[in-house]
Amino acid sequence: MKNTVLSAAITAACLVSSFTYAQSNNDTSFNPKISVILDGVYYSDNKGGDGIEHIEEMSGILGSHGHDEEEHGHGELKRGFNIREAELTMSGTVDPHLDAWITVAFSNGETEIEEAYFETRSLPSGWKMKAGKFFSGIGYHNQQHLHSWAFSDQTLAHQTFFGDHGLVDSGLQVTYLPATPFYTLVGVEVFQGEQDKFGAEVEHDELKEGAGPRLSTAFLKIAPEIGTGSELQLGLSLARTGQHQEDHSETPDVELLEGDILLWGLDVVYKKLPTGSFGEGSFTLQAEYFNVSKELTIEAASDIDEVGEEVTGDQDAFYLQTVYGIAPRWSIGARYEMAGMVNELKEESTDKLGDSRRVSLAATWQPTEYSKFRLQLSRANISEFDEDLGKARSESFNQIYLQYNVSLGAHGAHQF
Amino acid sequence: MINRILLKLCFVCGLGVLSSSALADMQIFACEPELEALAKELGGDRVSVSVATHAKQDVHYIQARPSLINKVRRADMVVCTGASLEIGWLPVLLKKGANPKVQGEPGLFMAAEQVELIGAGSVADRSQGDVHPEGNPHAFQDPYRMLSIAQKLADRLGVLDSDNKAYYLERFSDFKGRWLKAITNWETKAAPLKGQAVVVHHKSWEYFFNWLGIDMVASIEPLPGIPPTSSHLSQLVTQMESKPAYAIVRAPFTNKKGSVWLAKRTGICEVELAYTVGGSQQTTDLFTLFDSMIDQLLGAEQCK
Repeated sequence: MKNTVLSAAITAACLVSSFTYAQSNNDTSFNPKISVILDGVYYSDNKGGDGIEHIEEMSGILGSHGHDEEEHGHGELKRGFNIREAELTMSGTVDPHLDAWITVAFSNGETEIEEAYFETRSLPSGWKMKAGKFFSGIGYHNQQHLHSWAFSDQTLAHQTFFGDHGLVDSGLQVTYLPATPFYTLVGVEVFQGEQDKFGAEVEHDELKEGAGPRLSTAFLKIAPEIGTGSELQLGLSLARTGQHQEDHSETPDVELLEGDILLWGLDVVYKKLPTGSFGEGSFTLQAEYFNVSKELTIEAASDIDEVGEEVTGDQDAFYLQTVYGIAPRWSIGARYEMAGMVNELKEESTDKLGDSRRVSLAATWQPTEYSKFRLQLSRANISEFDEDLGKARSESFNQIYLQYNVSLGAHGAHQF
Repeated sequence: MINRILLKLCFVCGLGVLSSSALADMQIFACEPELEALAKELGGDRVSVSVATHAKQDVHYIQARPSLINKVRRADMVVCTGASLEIGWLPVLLKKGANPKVQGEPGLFMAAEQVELIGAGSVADRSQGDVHPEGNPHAFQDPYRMLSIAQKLADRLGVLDSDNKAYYLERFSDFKGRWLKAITNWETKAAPLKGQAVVVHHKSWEYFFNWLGIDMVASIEPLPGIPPTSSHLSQLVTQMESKPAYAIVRAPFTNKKGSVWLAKRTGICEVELAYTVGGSQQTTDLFTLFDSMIDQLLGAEQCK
């Protein structure tokens, strides 16, 4: 049934899109620009298909402890063929003052609004406002949709702090782009804070329901002029929530926590622009570092003495990746990631949660702008915390992805 | 004390902003080198022009990088080709540039919208490769169309900067005089090329060859934007054996492997034409661009 709905939606979108295309392909058209992007992978690992699960259970201070949490997303990969998502995007100009964008992702029988927002186009002096549900502007990788990633999977850093999708939420963003000699962008965001990890919310009678907005961010990006052949962008990000909630209950005991989390991050992107045709000679070096600290208080517990006790934690994570255009339409990439160089929780005692690492190599073939195919090999050492033993242990495994990504309809944007 | 220093600083900054905006030229952001050259021809010393791309880049594949966003942010006018040539990046620049002045006319000037395009309104789908339903966007390669674009651009400059309207119109009429004279010279010089057959790498030359009466008999790309395949190349060899072309032509930003291979196999001369300003050492403005392209084509004779 769901498949029928999905295929009907795609067919409708294609029809509309081919209609608009035949009519006119320029921005003066009244119809929104429509595109459908299909992403699928052949996946396998040498852990009997549990590699993805191990990554989801990677130990971190924002991980769930001792209770089952229902999660969904790109992560539900099985060994073999998977359609990860079909993403339907419509965008256009609402009126002289507003642009709007809607992306709906169909995956595993679920339909989800991935992004839906409007933003201003007529504010003076470099100001812009955006409202709706959208990817946060913190860092560099966070704003990119799955299909424009240089690797097949989410980074460990984003996975451990924000989950599969990255930080995407309902809220408001204000950015300011002053007319300076080089690119400088300042932004602040306020989000509702409905997250799985950073800014999680727990529904429980003994915890008061959080009032939004509960999550705020700020970011700065600068791009000094370094010539016509290359580009460098540096970024600084902050995010904070004062109402992060965790449920550490283990039946029949109850333990509920609430408190602050603060994140800061640095990102750097260097790109050498291609000198040959179709991406040959292009080179990208990109790295991000995040540091998160939390200070929670036990708000409710079966053991009444525990109430009011503090639980604190510190964790960081980074990735470093590089992609090189080895031939026209061919690129190769390497990525090194680490989560939890610092990774500890302090309650009565201090738990060392251990570090996780992964090395990935990818080769991507992009025959045209509308399709790409990728082979990715990864070697992961993922740390998981064993509650019973009270210490971290490591799981090592290999992963392989064969990914395809095809797009229909409106021409995609060449985002930096 | 600190307050007073801050106040002074604000005053100085404010003054700086005021005086710089009063004295500033009109800031023009051009997408391609030929439009940069045209804006300089017409704008003279009343404008300062920055450009997004250079002759060695394929303008279709540009990223909307922060430096370009910053230039759009500071522009009074954006001059681009349009007809989907910059579809991947110009909309992003205009969106992220947060500059309402250039998001539409009059601050946004699209050259291809000022003239009639070859192939406009034809049915197109992606199975035909990288085709533009609006028509072939490379219209500046026809000097007559270039002149029409120049006239529209001069008018637009006058609208945006009405104080200098007379100046722009005078610059245009001077340009027109020199350009028409140059066209006569080019047409005389290129007369021997009329009726010659050429193989092109990509269809970007349609306007230039139509103008000179040169026949485009084949292209190295099997479909626009699709790289040459060995079967397509061997087909071209057969075609060239029965009916040899005068030259094989490509732009500085295209991969030369296909053209060089075909030239070697068939003994036909392979020429890298400048295509736009900066495409060869001699091409420093629009006049030397056409001078050099015609010279380069005439030179292909010696290769035989």
